[in-house]
Amino acid sequence: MAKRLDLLQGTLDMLILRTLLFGPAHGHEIAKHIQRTTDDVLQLEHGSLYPALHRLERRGWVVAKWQTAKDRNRQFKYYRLRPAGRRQLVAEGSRWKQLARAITRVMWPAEGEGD
Amino acid sequence: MDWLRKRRETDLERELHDHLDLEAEEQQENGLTPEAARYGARRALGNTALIQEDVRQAWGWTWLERLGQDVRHVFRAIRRSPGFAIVAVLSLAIGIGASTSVFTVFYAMFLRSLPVRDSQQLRILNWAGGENVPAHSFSGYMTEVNGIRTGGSFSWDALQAIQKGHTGFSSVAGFSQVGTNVVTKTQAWQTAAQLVSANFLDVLGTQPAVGRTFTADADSPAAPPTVLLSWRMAQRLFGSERSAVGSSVIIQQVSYTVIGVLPPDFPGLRQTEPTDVYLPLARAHELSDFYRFDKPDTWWIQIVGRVAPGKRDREVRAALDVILAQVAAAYGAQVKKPVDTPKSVLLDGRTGLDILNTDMSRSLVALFAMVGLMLLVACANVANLLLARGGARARELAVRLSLGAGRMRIVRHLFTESLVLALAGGLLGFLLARLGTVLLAGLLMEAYEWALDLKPDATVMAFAMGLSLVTALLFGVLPAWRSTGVHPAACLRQGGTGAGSLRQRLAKSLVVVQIALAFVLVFGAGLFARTLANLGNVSLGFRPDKLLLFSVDPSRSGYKEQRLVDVYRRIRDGLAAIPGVRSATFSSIPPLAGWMSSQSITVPGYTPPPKDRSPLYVVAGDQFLTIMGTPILLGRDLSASDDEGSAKVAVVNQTLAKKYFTGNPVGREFAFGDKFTKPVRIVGVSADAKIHDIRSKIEPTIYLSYAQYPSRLGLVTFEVRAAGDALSLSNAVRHAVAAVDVTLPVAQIRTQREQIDRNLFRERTFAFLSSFFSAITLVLACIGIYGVFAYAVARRTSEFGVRMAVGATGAQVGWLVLRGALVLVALGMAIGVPAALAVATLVRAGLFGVEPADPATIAAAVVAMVVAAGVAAWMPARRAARLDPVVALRYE
Repeated sequence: MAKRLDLLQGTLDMLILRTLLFGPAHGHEIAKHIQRTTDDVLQLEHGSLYPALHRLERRGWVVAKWQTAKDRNRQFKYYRLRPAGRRQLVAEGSRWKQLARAITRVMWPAEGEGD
Repeated sequence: MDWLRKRRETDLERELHDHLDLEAEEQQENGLTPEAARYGARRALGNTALIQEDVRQAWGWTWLERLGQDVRHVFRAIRRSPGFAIVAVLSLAIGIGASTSVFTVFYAMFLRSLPVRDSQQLRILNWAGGENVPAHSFSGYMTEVNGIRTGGSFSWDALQAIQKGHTGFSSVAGFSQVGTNVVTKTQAWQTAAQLVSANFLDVLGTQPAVGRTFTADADSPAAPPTVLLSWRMAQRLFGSERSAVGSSVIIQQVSYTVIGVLPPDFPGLRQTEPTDVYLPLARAHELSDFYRFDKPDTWWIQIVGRVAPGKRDREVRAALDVILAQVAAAYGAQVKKPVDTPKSVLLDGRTGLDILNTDMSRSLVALFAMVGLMLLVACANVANLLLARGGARARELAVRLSLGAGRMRIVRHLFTESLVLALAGGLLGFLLARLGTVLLAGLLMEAYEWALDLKPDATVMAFAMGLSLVTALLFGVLPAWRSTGVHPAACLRQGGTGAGSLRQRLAKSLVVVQIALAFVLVFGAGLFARTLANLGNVSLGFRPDKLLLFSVDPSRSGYKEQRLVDVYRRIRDGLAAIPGVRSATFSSIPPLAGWMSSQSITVPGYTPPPKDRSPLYVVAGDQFLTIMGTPILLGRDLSASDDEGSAKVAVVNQTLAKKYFTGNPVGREFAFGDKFTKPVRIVGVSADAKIHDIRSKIEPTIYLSYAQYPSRLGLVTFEVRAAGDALSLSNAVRHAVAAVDVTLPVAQIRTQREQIDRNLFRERTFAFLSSFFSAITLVLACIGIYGVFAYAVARRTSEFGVRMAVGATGAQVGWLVLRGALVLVALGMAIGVPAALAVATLVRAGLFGVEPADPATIAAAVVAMVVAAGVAAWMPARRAARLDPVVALRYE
């Protein structure tokens, strides 16, 4: 809990899109997946997820549909990546990589040379 | 929109609920108690209400939702103050309704395409050329401007050449107008027929509803005579369109077989004057001596063509010019004279020939101007109402502004309100226009036999709605911008009356504009009313009362020369024998119907100045002037003894006597034409009487005896002087004519008074409509004045209280208000009078006996405006005068 980091603006969107690359998922699954893959470093406040999801839906990057879950007899709202979202993810990802590399180069010049 | 939003809300609630359930389940699996798990889940998710709000923000507002919200808001506001909405919507509905009525008639007359296939391909062929274009007689029309003559008719040769040549027309037909008597066993009708090429209907792109069209051999005079009838003519003659086909009708003593009946909605090439009878062009010579196939300088055929798809008008014209040049050259070689070659002109034939009816279109444009002014006044009214309401709502708007609403958002909201009002006004106006169109068409059709298709269609609807949008912009934008231009804090401090004085100034300027516009209309109405009154007081020179008129044309039923003279006499004698008829006579010109005939004369001793006008002549029955009630001043009237065996005589009017002769002209002689051969002796001088037109001044006029000039007769008008009611003789008159020849149609039975009314149709219509429109406009302007001053009195209540408390009387305070109104009227006049005078010069041609700047009319209009404004401001002024100072001071 103490190691919790604040997400940069727009980063959450990218993480959601990246998660959906594996296939459709509902809000809780997305939250859990992000948490698990980052080893709980990004202790995401679940509440912030939903405005982000609805924003992505409005922009046409994801599409939502009520579907019955595989493991139980209950409908959840599943989000699925749309082609526009896939393109957005690629763009966002490369931008992030550039940014990260630039920051790394400033912070740790020696390590950066090796890459 | 609402349900969409609600569904999204429940969706979101369910989604968040699901999340909490799953999270709680997971935490429970980690060993927490159900209670603790639920609590933990909730903590992990965060504040649900805040999340919902954030999500809503992410959804954003679509413009549609915003519009829906605005519209709901508007309807709430209208429910709160329905009086405002009713006045606004009614004002607009009247303005838009009147405009739409005029538009509907205009559209039906000039803009609506003929109901035929691909009407955009139709062209009417005209020509333009110099003085020596070899065209000597015309059917259709011809005009000359600056030495360039243009005309709409061609020779038979030209039609043949164009039909055979390669022109870029896919098909070409000729047509010509002719008057006919159409006779069946039981009925006889006088009607205008169209002589047409056999392919005429194919070129126009229509076909008979029943039966068939002409076969190609109808273009030959040897073919059996066939005829096509309009739907209404078939109904008239045979009772139904089916029984018409195969029946026969007699036209100019030839029996024609009816082969087809046209569709009921097909008016022919003239939508305003539908054609009832179509005859083969090849039979033209039987119907009129004018129409010759063998004379290349007799031009009598109008031409309609269909442009082949993909061909440009320019290409078609070039090809036509070549053909016209060949035809002209062939004629030039024949007469051994140089002739001018006419160039072709193509007119859009989509709407038929009515585009040429400029007289009517000008009148309608004037009507448009009137209703346009009215609509502007209505708009100013609504703008004023909105301004006043903006004042009342200033506090609400200030609160909304200070809570952070954007100015644009509020302007948009207020504008939505205008739009809702305008569309409501437009819709109601559209419905009103259906009534208005019927009334207007009724007025216009009284004079012409029109069969206009006045059904409102998408175009008319679009016009009404477009007009509402324009009005919304006109009256909505200014108040909306004005109302939001306040400083919220200042406004709230002042208790919601911020920016009041500026708003008042704006409202007053609008009233000034209204007064100016209303003045223009009132003044115009005054001019038209005086014109009509002047025309009613014109001295006619004969007694128009108890006089029945009708027309007969025996020449279209085969009567010629002596037989023609005899049949007129027999009809006249039959009429005179009817009980209740004092006397009867006839003339080649119907009195005061706008007809005239003239011919130059030669008088020994009189040298005509250049461009001397020829005198009018009337060929009439004996005792014509006496029966009409025109005094004979010298000599005698035409008599029964003035026949073909006796010397040619004439009666002339006083004006002619004065112009051509000095002293007593009785016994003197003149001759028709420019040589003094075949002299005519003057046997009498009559007082001046109008025969051509009420408006025109008396021209020199010659009265000739019918028995001496049968070649100048054809269609004549009988004048029957009744002892009592003239119109009640109608049936007896029909029987009297039928007793002479049952195949002679009696047409246009009307009294002389009706004839005069018909002649003054335009003036009457204008006087009536302009008075009507200006009255409505005046009422609208008065509502505007009343509104502004009622509001001003409410605002100044405490001020008036102070004035009264320090000694002003009620009358003085009331005068203060009234004076304010009069100042606005004065300002309005300052704009209105010059504007009205400028407008009046535009309608000078429509006035009679009154100058555009007539001082009496100006004075009357000013008085009308002052009185109207005084009445409108009277109520607020009286309220101010009756204020109780104590109550007034406590106000606010």
